[in-house]
Amino acid sequence: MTIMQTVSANLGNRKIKIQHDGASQITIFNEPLEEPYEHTKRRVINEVPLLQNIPMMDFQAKIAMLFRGSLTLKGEQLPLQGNFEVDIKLETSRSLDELPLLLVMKSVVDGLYAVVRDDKTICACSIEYKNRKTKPPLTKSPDVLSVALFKRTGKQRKLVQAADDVPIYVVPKKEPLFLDYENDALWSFYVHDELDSIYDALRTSGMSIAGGGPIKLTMNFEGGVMDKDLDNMARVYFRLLEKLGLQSRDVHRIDLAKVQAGKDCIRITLN
Amino acid sequence: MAVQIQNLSTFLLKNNTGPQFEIQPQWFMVQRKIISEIYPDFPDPDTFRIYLYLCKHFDHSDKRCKRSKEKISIDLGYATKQPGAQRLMNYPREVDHALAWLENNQFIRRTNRNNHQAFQCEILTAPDFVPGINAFVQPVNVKYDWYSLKDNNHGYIMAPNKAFDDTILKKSPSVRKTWTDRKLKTWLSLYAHTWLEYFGGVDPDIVTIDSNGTLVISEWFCCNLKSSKTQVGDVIVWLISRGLLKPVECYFVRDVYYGDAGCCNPPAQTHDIKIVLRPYYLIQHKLESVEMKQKIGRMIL
Repeated sequence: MTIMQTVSANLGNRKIKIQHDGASQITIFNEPLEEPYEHTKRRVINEVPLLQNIPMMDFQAKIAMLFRGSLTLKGEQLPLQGNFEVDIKLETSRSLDELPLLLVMKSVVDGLYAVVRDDKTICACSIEYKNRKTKPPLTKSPDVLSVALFKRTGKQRKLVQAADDVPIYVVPKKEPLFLDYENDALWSFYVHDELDSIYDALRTSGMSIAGGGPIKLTMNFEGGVMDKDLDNMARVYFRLLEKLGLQSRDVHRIDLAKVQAGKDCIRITLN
Repeated sequence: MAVQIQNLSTFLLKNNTGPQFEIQPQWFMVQRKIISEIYPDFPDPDTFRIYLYLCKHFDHSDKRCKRSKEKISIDLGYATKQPGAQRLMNYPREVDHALAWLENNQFIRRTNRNNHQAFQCEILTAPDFVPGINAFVQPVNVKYDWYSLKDNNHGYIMAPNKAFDDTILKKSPSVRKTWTDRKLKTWLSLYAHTWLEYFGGVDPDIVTIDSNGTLVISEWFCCNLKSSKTQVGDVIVWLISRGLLKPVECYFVRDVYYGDAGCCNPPAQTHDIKIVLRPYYLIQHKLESVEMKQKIGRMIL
């Protein structure tokens, strides 16, 4: 039987409750934090000279094309309205060191920009990694990607469009290059500070994640979260897990979900 | 297998001894989408080259490419006018086929009002490709202009007109043997990664030369070109040997170009030295940008 421990962390002048089992389960009773958008952080993104990674932008444009083309043929008007779920499967001869799953997920979801109205309408997303033992010919992609987009109605979901077994070279999310890094690269100290306090509380009460995989990571975000980006919330708590010992290369599957609820909390499980 | 640059020191640009690059005011746009591992190649070499030719001669101000079939045929060496003849008697089959294919698959839209008026066309936003059913589909609400393409993440390549002179697009067997599809695609794709203010040339994460003279090429770049590293490496070596790409030793601060080692003192901050490939033909307005103001004086040109 799992024994859960309850601890508290000080965030500024308030205390939050955290429960954990010391190894694979954490529940944080607090409003889920999210990595702020670049343009929210700096407000004037168009005036800051930066260059997005071109291979990443190209990869995202290809994802968009795969969905846009099929949906246009079906007569669908884009962007699609409603709430959505995304399932991603990545089969590759490359290692997870090259393809951190959360960053691959982020890149794919960003690629669906303009297919769905807003990233925020994606309320569940999963990604699974499968290692291919055989290497493809030198002129072909080492990766095969499948992406399925579902429309969510209540607790039901219905397939809208899928791109199955596409031999596409996958590019995880990359940070932009700043022409003037010293002056233009801004950091969100508020998120870092809160995360540090939560980390301290977990660490001092014995929470630590052992190395080795494969690990299936589940993160559920509850509360007033519908206007928050799923992958941006996940990035914050993935960093916390990394500080606690999780290695990205051990994570073979990630399931994320957000749900509107009266009480705020983040539930994390590693299996 | 790694591709080696023989006698790298002879190609490496050392300092300003007269003009080393040709700076061109005219440039044209080609959508990045057409070169990709999930986008089909054009059906034949003629269609690919005629498409590039049309992109190059497209006038963005009136949204027209006013090149008649006769002009296309003569410029690209498909036909020659007999001395004293007013016009070509017949249009070459390849030109007709290529234009029909581009029109049927929605890469271009014919804008001449009837068959008595000379051929002219509009370049359209390159269609999406749906692999499952092997079909091209025109995206809705994305205009073929810089702003609309950029806003909708339809990336494009900016290439100097002179780098794709009509002479390298010609039909003659010797030109086709020299300028193969792979060479044209690689040459074009290298311009997609040429950002002078950030890299001083082609992004070194895409291609660079290490201290042993070995070409280091991105796997993604090769996959996008549906080619192996050896095949792309051979093209890059060839472009260097023709003087179309010049290796330059550059200083980088936080992965951003600072200046050429042969043209300025090392930066005070922590820095790296990388060998960057700089295309011989450069676009004038890129050099005159605000971001280049500080850097242009530290650049061998």
